[in-house]
Amino acid sequence: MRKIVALIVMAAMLLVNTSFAFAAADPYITIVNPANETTITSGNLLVSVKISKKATVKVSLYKNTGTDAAPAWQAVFANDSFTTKSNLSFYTRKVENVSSGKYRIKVDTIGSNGTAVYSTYSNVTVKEKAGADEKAVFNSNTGAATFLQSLLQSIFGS
Amino acid sequence: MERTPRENLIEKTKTVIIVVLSVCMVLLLCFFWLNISLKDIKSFSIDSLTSGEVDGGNMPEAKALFVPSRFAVTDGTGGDRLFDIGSVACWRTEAGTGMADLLEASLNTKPFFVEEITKEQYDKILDTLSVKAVFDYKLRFADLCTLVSGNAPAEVEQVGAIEELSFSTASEGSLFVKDDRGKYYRLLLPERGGYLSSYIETLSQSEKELYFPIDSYLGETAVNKTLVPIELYAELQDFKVNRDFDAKNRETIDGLAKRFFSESFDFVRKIEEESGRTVYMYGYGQRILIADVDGTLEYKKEASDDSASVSFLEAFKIARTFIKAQGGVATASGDELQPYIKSTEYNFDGNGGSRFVFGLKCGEYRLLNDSSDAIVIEVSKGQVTYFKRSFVSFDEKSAVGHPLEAMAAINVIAKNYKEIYNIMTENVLLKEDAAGEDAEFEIVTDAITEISYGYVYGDDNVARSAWIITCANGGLEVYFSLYEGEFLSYRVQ
Amino acid sequence: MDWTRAKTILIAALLMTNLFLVLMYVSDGGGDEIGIDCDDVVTLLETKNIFLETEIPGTFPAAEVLTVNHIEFKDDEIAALTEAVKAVPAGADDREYIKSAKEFFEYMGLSCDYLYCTDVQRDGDTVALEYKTRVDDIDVEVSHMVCTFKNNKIQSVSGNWFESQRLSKKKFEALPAVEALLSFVSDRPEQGPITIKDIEPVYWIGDEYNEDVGFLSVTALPAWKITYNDEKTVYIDAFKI
Repeated sequence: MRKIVALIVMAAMLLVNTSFAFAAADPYITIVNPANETTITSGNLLVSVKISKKATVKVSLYKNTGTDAAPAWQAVFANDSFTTKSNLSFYTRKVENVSSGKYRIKVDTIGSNGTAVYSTYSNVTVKEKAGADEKAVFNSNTGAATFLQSLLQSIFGS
Repeated sequence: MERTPRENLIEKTKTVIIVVLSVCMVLLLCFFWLNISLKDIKSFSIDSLTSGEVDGGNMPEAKALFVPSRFAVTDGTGGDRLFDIGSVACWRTEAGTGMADLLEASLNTKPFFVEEITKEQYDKILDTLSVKAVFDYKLRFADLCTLVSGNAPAEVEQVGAIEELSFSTASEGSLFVKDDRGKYYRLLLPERGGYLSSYIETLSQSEKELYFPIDSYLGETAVNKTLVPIELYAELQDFKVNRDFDAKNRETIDGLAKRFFSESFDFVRKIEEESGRTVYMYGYGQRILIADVDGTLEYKKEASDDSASVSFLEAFKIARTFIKAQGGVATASGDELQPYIKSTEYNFDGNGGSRFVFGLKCGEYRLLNDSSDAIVIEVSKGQVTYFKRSFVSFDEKSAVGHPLEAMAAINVIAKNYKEIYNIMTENVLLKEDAAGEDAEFEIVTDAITEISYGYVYGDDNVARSAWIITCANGGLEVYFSLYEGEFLSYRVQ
Repeated sequence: MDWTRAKTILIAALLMTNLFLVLMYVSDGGGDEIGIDCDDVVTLLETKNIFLETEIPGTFPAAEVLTVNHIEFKDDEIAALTEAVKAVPAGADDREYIKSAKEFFEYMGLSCDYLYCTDVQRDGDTVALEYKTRVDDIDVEVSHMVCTFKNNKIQSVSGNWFESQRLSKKKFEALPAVEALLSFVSDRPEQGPITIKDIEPVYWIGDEYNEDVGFLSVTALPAWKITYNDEKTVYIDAFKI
């Protein structure tokens, strides 16, 4: 019995996780930002999807609340619908205050029957951004030397 | 012996005659003494007292005009928010906490400190809560320093025309400069700009739309940092404008023309053309004024060879005096308008001359014409040698409606990139031809240098809310309707 | 002291003094500049290889600004109008032709007040009448018109015609012809010997108007027209600013 339950759970998990890879990627869809397998450090995320045909798409953003080995995708926003009227359009959306972690963008191309015929993905890692440090940016020694130089110039002239 | 009333009257009359004759004698002696000729007396008239010039026409001073075109505030987490100078207190404040105040303090510090830094240092220090004051027109940093503090230390002569003046909360004791030669500088402040830091933190949290660089929308193949708003809710709506004057109204036009020729208007040759245009000429074309049917006034004057050129700021003073004398920035009917500096040119004539181009604003938004600028004025050898004005009057209240979602700027480009590409091709603004649609799109997006929104009017005198897309280093502006993204018109500069 | 008598004497003295001052002032030219002697100018011109074959006029008759309207002649309209016009009798003299032309101009709607016939040219069965606009004996340059008769009937009217509209109310200080000549010398149009055939006052429209543009009215300013060598002309403004 235990073995059967474990098998059912494993099958369910496999199904959930592989459902992301069930449909093929749409050749007319490019998730331009964030690009696949990139790392960004900002807290405001710009989602930009290039759509090179007339279509209806649904865009979702998920955050991995699990681990790399056992990911658990939680929706930040799901199925945001966008219909294009020309052969080149962009879906754009800003997501503010994005915390560190791994994210996945999914773009479903909706067919005439209302179901997804293609699914395109992009994975991105968001990291904490280190604040700009004045001393690190400007070597403090350089600043002092230049200051001294200009002070001497003002006393003795150029 | 008592006099009779008649004798008294005679005596009084004699006294009056003596007084009058004495005054006449004094006047005649004055004419001899001062050598006043009959010609001077004959030519004196009431008309000569009024030259036609308007005293005190409105034209802001240099300090009010040579200000940043906009402020870009970022909190370093991605995206910028843009603010118009009139809507924020970033430049000058009564408490002396604005960027111009900090710059003034820096310039007045002894010794004054400025050092060159790298682009990487500049980008890194501003990749946090910071503000950039962006200048869309050319202004030498030394001239900005003179305007702000009255003097420009010798050390700033090395800096070119300012593109950005920036402040970062990560370096509150500094100001940063980006010039048009691709160089970056750091100025030390005598005191830290803590108040400014707090203020821009407030601005970074405002509800204003976020802008991202265009390459963020387009992916790694694009390299273009032009800012594009991700979404926009705007209150702009179309409204009617009225041209400055009716070309058929001879009285109004003559009244305007008198301001340009003042005491010599009587010797001006006037040609009224069938088209409705009127040309005024003085001498053998030394001075020409054209009042055209589209409500523009164009004035040209030959520069005299024996004059010396003047500095840029001195040229602006001369230009300002001239504009004030023509009634300032106001229509012929007296409606005052709001000018801003659109572009400037140093040494436009090769003789140290200066050129100023002004635009008009409706509220905080630009009001553009698809064929001419509000004012173009050239100062050569210390004289105004060219002046053209194209004014309109309008009701500012009719320009504002209910907030509506504008068509996303990036999709305006996606929808119309072929149109933009064709316009650039027709006007020889492309360095290379595209091989395919994808290449056309890439060429167009690479060429874009600014995306903004405002109002644009044309011959139909309707100011339409519009996206303004600037390409080819400012050589081309293309206009699209703000809410539908439909092509309106374009202008080659 | 008899103040009554003293006042009378004082009035008389003041009157005489003022009269004296006025006479001195007016006879002095009112403080105006000293006039230039014509003989001196002729001598100066000869030293510059410029010779006068005409008298130097005095002042400009009436230095005023004239506004003129441009009249365009359309061939098809002229042709239609000439249909209704009677022919001049055969063997008619110049006066008959001029009279016939004047009637036609009135029929066209032209104002004949300032229309002046300067020449009648005959060539076989063609008679050409040349006209200028003349206001108060002063020609308007370069207003001209030619009315051509063929076989005693008006065939065409052509030219660049300006009708006088109004003179300015303000009169200007005129530049004397001698000063115009001095200006001519200093801005000499060509090197080599120059023979000045004529100096006359005109109202000058100027070179700047463009016939192709099409225009309604123009200002004609007083000018001295100097004709030299082979009918070459120069115009010099005849007013002082």
